[in-house]
Amino acid sequence: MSSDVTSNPLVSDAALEVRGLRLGYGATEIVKGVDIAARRGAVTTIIGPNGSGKSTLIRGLAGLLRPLGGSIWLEGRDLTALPAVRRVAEGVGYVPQEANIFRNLGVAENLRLATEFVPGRQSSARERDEILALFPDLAVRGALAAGRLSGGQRQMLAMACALLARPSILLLDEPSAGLSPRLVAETMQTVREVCDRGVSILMIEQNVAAALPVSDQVVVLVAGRVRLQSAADRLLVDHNLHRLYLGEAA
Amino acid sequence: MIAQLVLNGLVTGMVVALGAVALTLTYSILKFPNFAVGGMITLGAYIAWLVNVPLGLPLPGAAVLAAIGLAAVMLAADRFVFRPLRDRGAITLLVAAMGLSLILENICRLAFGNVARNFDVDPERPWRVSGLRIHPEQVTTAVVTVAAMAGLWLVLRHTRLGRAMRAVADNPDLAAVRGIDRDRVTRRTWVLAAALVALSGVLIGMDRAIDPLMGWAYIIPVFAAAILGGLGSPGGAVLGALLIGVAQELSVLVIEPNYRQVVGFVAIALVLLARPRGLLGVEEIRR
Amino acid sequence: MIAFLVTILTLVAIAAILALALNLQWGLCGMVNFGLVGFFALGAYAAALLSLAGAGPALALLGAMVITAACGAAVAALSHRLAEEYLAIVTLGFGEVVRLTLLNESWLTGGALGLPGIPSPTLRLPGPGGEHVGFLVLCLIALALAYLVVERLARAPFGRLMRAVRDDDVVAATLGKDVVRVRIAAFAIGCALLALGGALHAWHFGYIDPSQFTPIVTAYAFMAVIAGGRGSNPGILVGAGVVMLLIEGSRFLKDVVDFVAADQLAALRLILIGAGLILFLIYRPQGLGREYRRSAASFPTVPAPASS
Ligand SMILES: Nc1ncnc2c1ncn2[C@@H]1O[C@H](COP(=O)(O)OP(=O)(O)OP(=O)(O)O)[C@@H](O)[C@H]1O
Ligand SMILES: [Mg+2]
Repeated sequence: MSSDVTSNPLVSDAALEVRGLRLGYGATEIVKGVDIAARRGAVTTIIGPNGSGKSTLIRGLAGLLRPLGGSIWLEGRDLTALPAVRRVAEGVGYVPQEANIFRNLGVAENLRLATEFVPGRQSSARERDEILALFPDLAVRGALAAGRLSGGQRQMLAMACALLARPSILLLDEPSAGLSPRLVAETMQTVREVCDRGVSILMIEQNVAAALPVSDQVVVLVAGRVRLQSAADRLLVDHNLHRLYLGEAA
Repeated sequence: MIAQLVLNGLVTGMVVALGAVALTLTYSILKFPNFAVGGMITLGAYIAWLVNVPLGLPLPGAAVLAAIGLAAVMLAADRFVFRPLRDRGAITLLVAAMGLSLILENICRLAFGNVARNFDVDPERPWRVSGLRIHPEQVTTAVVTVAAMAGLWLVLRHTRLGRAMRAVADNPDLAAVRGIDRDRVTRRTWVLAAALVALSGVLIGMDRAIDPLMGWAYIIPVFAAAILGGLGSPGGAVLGALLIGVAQELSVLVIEPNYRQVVGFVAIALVLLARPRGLLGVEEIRR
Repeated sequence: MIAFLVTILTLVAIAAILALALNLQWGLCGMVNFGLVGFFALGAYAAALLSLAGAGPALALLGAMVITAACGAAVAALSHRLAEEYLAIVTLGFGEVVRLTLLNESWLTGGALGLPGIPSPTLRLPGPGGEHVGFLVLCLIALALAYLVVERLARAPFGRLMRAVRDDDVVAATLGKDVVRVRIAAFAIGCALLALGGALHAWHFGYIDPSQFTPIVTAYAFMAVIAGGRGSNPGILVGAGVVMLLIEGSRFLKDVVDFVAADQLAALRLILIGAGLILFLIYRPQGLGREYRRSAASFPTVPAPASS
């Protein structure tokens, strides 16, 4: 709605800033007032027990849920009132937890749709090749229905599609879910690489052990509230976190 | 005799196919079965009749105007009926669609009465080809239907709109995230569906007469064809329609002709019992 | 004048029974019965044929209700594995099958000519037109019983379950099998009530033919339910009364405005019904009344599957 660039002293180094965000389905509030600042050029990882509202939060950031309160800022622009269709053009990339590709469409069509309806965010041929080079598995692409891809390939395709629209923040919902340990490590590596190329990342992960090493910041979400927000390397040695997190999950 | 019935059945099936494909298109984008299809058939035929007989335009031109007119009506219906109800679930939408059907059908009755009308076309004698009687209208029907289906296939497979439609049908949330505006896709889907239904209305009007109940008589075969094809699959809907058409014609060998319409109902029942995903259905029908 | 009033009240009572039945099916359970008129006709013909064959009123009524309920159960069972939308088309198809059968099986149904001379029960009340008043009393008793049945179902745990299922897909998916059984039962009970309405209709007119059973009846019933407020039984009574009065009242219109022909008037009425349905759905989905329902907080919470 408003495209005025509000300068905001608090977000100087935050790509995405969420303030007091409240989200829910119908009358039930799931995300109950969340403040998060995802640093520019960093991987911010959200962890938390099942059902704590992580996916709900990230769906809200992608614009699929109308906020009940609070605000969402990307690079100083207020996205709060924008629906999902308009947020891509503002630089929000989103890879859902499941159903992250068009199953009945071909792989090539999926890639084509990544930018076809996003005005002003087409990537150049070189950028395109670079992005696709990150995902060598997609070489099997073409007319094959994307639903026929393996879980890992699907995740790769989904991430490639999101990146082709040149997002300034990439939202990933459990990119490692259902992947073999080897693929989990690879995926995390890819996440790091993407970030190092200048895309800020906000990612949900259950696999804390795999995610922490590639993360810069960690947010712990419990029952729809931020329990803890901290630098990742601090948490690596903080046994309290493990207790807290695993304790809540049990 | 049997060959003649099969031929007639295929032609009937083609007319049904137009409606069934339209139903399938709106279903996959809007996620509710459009019970207004009966009223749409009737209104489409009457618009064509209005242009053809009182205004004296040749039938092909009248058919095009009927498609445009019906598309305009359905755009208005989308704006004022379906859009306000979009988030209220399929049940509410399908009842509203039935209400709309009632309105469309009775606008025709109010304006033109209950008497049956006919298009202004010269009746031609059927051709005889190796023992088969082929009516010129049957050939027209076949040509128009095949052309419409081919056109639709091209749109769905090879245009931006087609990709957007398939994307929304496949995964509406992801489509939104990819910047595809569902409202726009919805409006264009209504235009396509209305054009197909208007054509089927004109073809039905050529085959029998134009009267306010003509669309009602086609609701069940059209739904049966779409369900047989697995709601959501245009190719399946065409196949389903041809099967229904042929089965309807062949049924006269075993049951009284008056019960032909029962065939569609029986087909629905059998599909629901034996193969709920339809013949070519890609997704399991939800429960 | 009294006689006219008695007739109107009788028709309102029958309409109210149909509306209550649809309210149980659609209003409470979300099961769209587009073939309502088919079940109504089936009940009417079954009761008429049994009465003509010499069965007493109680037996004729029981037979009609059992047959119709069985058909209803079969139709609901046929569609139960699928989304609710399919019930709508299956019932519509059932209605057409009934219509065709009535028209074509003349040996049984009299075909287009229908069945004349149906003997009907009544209470012999004194006074002029006493038997008409007596029949009205019977209809009101039937209506009261139907009301009690539907109201009890709505208030029972069964009713709460149905509302929860109707309003929430997750709950519906979670509860599975039980819900299916309960829904089939609810649909069958609704159909039995439609048969009750049909039997009263046949007895009231003493003569039935297929032209009395057009899909318009279904449209009126939907209008009554949506106007009265889905799920609200007291509201439904008002809704049915209002719809019936409008229909009967508009008959006088053609005496006043003589430039509209009868069939144009009928068309106009149906346009208004269609528009009314849509407008109510959009602007007043709760109808004129309010649905009986406890606050959401007092429902036992049903665990939703942790979506992941
Ligand atoms: N579409 C929906 N409608 C209603 N409630 C929902 C919906 N989606 C999720 N919920 C509820 O919201 C709560 C949070 O769900 P969410 O998916 O956000 O959790 P999560 O933290 O992502 O869990 P997980 O780790 O299992 O993915 C859960 O109680 C869930 O049942
Ligand atoms: Mg989740």
